[in-house]
Amino acid sequence: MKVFRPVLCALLLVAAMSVPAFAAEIRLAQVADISSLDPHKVSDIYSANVIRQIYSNLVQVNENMEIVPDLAESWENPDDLTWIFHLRKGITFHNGEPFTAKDVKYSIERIRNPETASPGATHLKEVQSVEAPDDYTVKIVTKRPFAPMLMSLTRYETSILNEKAVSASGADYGSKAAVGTGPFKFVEWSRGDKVTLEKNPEYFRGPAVLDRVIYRGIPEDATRLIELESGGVDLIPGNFPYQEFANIEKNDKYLTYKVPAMSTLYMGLNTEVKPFGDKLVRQAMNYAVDKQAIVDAVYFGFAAPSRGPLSPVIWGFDPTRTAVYPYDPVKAKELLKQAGYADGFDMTIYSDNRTERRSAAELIQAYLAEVGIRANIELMEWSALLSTSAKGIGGAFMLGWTGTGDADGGMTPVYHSANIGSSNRFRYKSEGIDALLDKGTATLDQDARKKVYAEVQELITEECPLVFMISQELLGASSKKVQGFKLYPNMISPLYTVTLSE
Amino acid sequence: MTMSEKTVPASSGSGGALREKRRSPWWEVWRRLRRNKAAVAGMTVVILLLFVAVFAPLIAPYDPNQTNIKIRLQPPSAEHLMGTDNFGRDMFSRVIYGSRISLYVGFIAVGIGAVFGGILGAVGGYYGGRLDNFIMRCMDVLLAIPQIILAIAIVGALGTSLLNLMIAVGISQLPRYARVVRASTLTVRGQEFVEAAKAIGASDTRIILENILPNCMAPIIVQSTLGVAQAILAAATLSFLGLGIQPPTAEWGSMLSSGRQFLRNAPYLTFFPGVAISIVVLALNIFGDGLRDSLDPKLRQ
Amino acid sequence: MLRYFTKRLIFLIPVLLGVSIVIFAIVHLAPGDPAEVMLGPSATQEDIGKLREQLGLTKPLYVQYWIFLTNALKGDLGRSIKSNAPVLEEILERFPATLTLASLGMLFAITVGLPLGVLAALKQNTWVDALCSFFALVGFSIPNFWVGLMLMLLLSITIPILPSSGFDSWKNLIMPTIVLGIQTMAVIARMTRSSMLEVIRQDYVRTARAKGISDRLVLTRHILTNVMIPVVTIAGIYFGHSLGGVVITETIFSIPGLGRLIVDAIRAQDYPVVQGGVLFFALCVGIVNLLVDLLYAVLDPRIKAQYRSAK
Repeated sequence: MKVFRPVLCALLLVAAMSVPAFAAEIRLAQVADISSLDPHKVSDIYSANVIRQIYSNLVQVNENMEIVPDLAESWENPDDLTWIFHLRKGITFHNGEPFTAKDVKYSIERIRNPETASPGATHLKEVQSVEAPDDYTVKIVTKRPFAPMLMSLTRYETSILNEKAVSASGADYGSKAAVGTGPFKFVEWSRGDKVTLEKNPEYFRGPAVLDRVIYRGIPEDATRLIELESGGVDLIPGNFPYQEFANIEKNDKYLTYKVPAMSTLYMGLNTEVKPFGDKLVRQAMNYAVDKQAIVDAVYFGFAAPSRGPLSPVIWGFDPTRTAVYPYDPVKAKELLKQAGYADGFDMTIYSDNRTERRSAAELIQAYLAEVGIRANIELMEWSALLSTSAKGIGGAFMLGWTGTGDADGGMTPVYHSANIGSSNRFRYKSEGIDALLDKGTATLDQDARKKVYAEVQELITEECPLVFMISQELLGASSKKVQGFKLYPNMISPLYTVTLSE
Repeated sequence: MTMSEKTVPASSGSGGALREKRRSPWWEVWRRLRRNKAAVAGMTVVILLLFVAVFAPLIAPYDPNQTNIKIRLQPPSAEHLMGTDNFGRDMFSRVIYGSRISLYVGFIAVGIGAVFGGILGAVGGYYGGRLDNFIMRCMDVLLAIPQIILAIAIVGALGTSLLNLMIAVGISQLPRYARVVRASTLTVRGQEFVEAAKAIGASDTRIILENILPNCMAPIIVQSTLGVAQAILAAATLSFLGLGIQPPTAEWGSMLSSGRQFLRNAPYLTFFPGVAISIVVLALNIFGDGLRDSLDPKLRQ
Repeated sequence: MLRYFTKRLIFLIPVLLGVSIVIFAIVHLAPGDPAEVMLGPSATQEDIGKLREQLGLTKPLYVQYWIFLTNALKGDLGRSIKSNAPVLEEILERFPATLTLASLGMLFAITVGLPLGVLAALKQNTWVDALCSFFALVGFSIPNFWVGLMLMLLLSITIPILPSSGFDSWKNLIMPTIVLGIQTMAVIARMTRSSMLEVIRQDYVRTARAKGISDRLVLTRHILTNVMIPVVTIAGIYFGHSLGGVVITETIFSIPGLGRLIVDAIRAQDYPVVQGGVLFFALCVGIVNLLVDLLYAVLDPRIKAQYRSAK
């Protein structure tokens, strides 16, 4: 036996070396490189996409944004405050550690620990306590009835980590190590360039078909497209340039993906700034802007005029709603006259330099001019826009909102007066809206909850502390050999089921 | 850089005869410049551009900011000479109006850089010693931060506006003038005529203004013509990186960078502003070259 | 000479100190702060406040600067706010790509620009001169990101022979090198031409010629050495410039270099990375400038003599 060992080793080596020739490797191009693979410390969609492949959550969403089991097989609510999750057995982390309820407790507590400074902490702020009565049961108690709990637990920010793996890497966790229970394992990250993953043969649903996954960050639209055409990348999972999509759809060398996005684009109004405190003025502005023009000129048709504060793919969206505030400059002028602004007024639109937001601002400016409102545009850095608009910006601001996929995450942060000073950038307070949003958060019966949200959507549309714009579509494209890829409305698409054909 | 007596005041120790002589070289420069066909062509283009910039409202057929998305992304035609952009704005009118901003940014930024940089460089080079050291160390500090990064950081801190853009570009160009002027000063200050001026007791300011600076004019002019072009390009670069001029202002750089997303479907959006930038830069360079040749003191002999 | 060298090295210290103050002031002047960027649009004011405190952003500015400075002197540039990785490590990881690009760009600029300028000057006022000058002018006049996009369209799509992004093989380097070097090339060609013309008319060159020294010898011994002074200055200045110009090139061609790291960090207000990165850049530029000054002295004995007497 001893004699044979070297021979065996050599054979194995040869076998191992020949594997890459058959290995299925997929290369994806995102807009930016990841910032970290510690799910509790990131807030960008590009990191989220990679995190989704490495980690699992208690529950997950499918491509229709419906909640499905992941690490938890089933769950129940013995009362309105308590959530009990029954976990799958026999799952191991990439470092070989078995997955148990302790990992869930650890993860949730880590997110909630102020020391972690997790951007995702906001999703779990209603949690009172988390316990692990046994290895495969988790009990979460909330401070008050919190209906969006499941949606919060699907978020990439609430991915389940392993304590040993985190403490073993210390400050390097997320950059040199990332350990989850997902279908792909972290291999390496060359910063600013790409991150490489490989198949996790132990994945609890069975190993993925792909052997290797490489995510690259390519900021330029043109370059990303050229890379797809020249074969440098196989798949662009979202952020495909709108103006090029019609062309590539016609080209049968590529597969294209199109799905309504969770996010909306709007022009927010700081209602503390004159004359935005006046509902008539706000409604006039809503009538003054042709949303279809923004759809056509900025999104090249790949968007739809807003049907209210929520995107149609968000849970709780009222499907009976139609496009709000149709383009009607005559009515806009009338309303302005009623409000005492027959001659219009001066205002400023603040935006960052993202093509879509800046372009939409330019169009809005032109439309407002037609009803006598003189707007000038001021561009600022994204960070400055976030910061000043939270504190109260001196006019209107271009912003989008993605939310959590649940009506609560889509509206409470933005419209509830408790969030004035942070995410309620309209600085708008309406007791009616507050009460309804609170009721929606606390109603665990999903049908009753939907009715509440239908009411809020109508009320917000009527009050309009913003100028409604559009909800866009997510666009993606790949070479023909990529099969089984599905673009998710939250722009975080799993690769588990993807295969490559030669 | 005006060719008037003010820039080159008459020397104190000389009589009327010398004054006469002083003026004539500049006349000579002008005469020589006129004979240089390329320089005249360059100058004509620059003057033409200034003309276009001043009379933009009369020349442009449309309002440069008038959107009409029904006619967006149309290729060049008789109606729209340079086509229309993604909002249906007339590109020809935007290019015409763009000359204003681009020339404005270019000249002001270079003005900031050349005046302050030139003074610092001449003073440092002439006096030498600690002062020179201090000035050059300050320049080194600015020079040590790559120009674009410095400009991005300044615009990021001050906020995006035309003025801040010019300040950022000007400051980031400042050391270049200081260095070039200083280098020339170093070579000039040892020459006989400077020694001679010192010997007859001329004041330092006078020597710098009368003897040193005129003899540094050639590199300053070369550097300034390059500088205007550089400033226009730097502005375009800042736009490209998303820190440009406030929309919908028509500026060539930002037109170029917002047109780049339509490079394949509507290449004319990047073509015409690119050509406009190139023409200005080209004209400025040819003109600068001609001026340099005409100013070259050695040619006068 | 050695004493001069060490003296200059010591002088680099206040320069770096100046850079650190300038950049610290600029980044902290910008509205917004990293805590807000990190926590995203949905963060509450309370969360932001907590994180701000944790990051030490609530301390007075001079205290923050002092902490940064003392740590930097110990070689610790802190950790990135965004990725939590040590700043120095991130810089060293990104630097090779940037240095390679900048050096190749400069090499391209000199090998093309210098002969072009010499040729133009020697054949002054002929069609050769016109052509060389025109070539240089065009190289200077076209915005370089446009050149990049055009090259990419031509060489990655129409005739797909070069990859359009990444940093894996020599093929990745060709287009970025041209884009990065083309402007410097033009400047060097112009500078070479105008200095050549100036030098050719100098008395000593005419004397040498009159003495019957061969044109070639005059060219190499008298003219080129004198032409080298402004060319070296410009090359030195533009090396720093192209380290910055790398930002554009790195963005277009998706190269993971230092320029992009810093610009992204400015955007995200990742203070430690901006400060560390710019300081590192400054150190490089400082060393390049020092080398340029040294070359100066080697090339022009008169200046060397002045430096001696200045001591």
